[in-house]
Amino acid sequence: MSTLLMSPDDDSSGALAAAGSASAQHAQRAAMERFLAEVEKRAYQHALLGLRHREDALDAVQDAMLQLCRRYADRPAAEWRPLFFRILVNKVQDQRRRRMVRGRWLAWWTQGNAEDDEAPSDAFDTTPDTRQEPLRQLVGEEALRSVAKAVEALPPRQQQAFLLRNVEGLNIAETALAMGCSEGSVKTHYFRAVQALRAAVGEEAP
Amino acid sequence: MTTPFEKSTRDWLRREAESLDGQTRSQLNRARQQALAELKPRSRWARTPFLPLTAAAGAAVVAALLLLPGGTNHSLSPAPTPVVVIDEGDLGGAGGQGMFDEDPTLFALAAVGEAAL
Repeated sequence: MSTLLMSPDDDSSGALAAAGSASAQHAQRAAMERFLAEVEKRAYQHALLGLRHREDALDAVQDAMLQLCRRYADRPAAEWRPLFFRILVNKVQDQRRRRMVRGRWLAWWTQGNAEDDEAPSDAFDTTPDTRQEPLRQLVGEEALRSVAKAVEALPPRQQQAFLLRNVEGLNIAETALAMGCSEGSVKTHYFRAVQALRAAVGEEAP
Repeated sequence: MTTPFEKSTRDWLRREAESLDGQTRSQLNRARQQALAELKPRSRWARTPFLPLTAAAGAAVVAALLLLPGGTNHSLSPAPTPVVVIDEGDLGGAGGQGMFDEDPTLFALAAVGEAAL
């Protein structure tokens, strides 16, 4: 009955609104796909440097992508990057904590059962590095190797600050949002990270 | 301000990130498609642009009806009793079945009184 009461103008405006909405959704999906495609490799690298385990890094990136699409897709596209890395940083930290707890239990168990054996103090440190490193194999740049190893060896917060700020190109406010800390802490972590990297690769500060 | 050291490390790390093996690229691609599948189309109601305004206006009208002085009395007061106008002619009733016709004692007393006078 209600369709009988609708004027042709109402019908056309409704159709236009539906078409506009569909095109807006299509545009949002396309924008999200571009964003994820642009950011996914560096996100994987970030997670890999933090976790030192290929599968765990892939899981962390996938979880971060899913969460961004489920919860924050309606937010402005400019906010996606810091939000995505906030989720990713949290995933990496959660994974590290789980490993620490698992490592403690494992250490306690192995100490209790075999006093002679040297129990691993931290599962994170003993996790085998299963990454495939094609560029390192192909290019063999000594400098790249030393920088990557130095970044890998940074404390977690310094590593996050360096990767987000320098490699990902987030500004200080965005980095603070992604790391869940103050801007002052970001500056401190970043400064210390650069100092540590310089020392590690043997470059003198200017 | 970026120093040459920071720039060179950034370039190195970005280059390394871009040089992933095919298997990892494929897995990342699958992960991206799965994530994009989670993008839910918004419901028709959520797409209505004036829905919040309409809801707010409706709530304001309801609130005004409830909160204005005497606003609730209208709905809670009993309905007024309808006033029935009775014509005196109706009291006699049709066919002599009126109120006075039905009391023969009254008429008997009246007849006795008239006789006494």
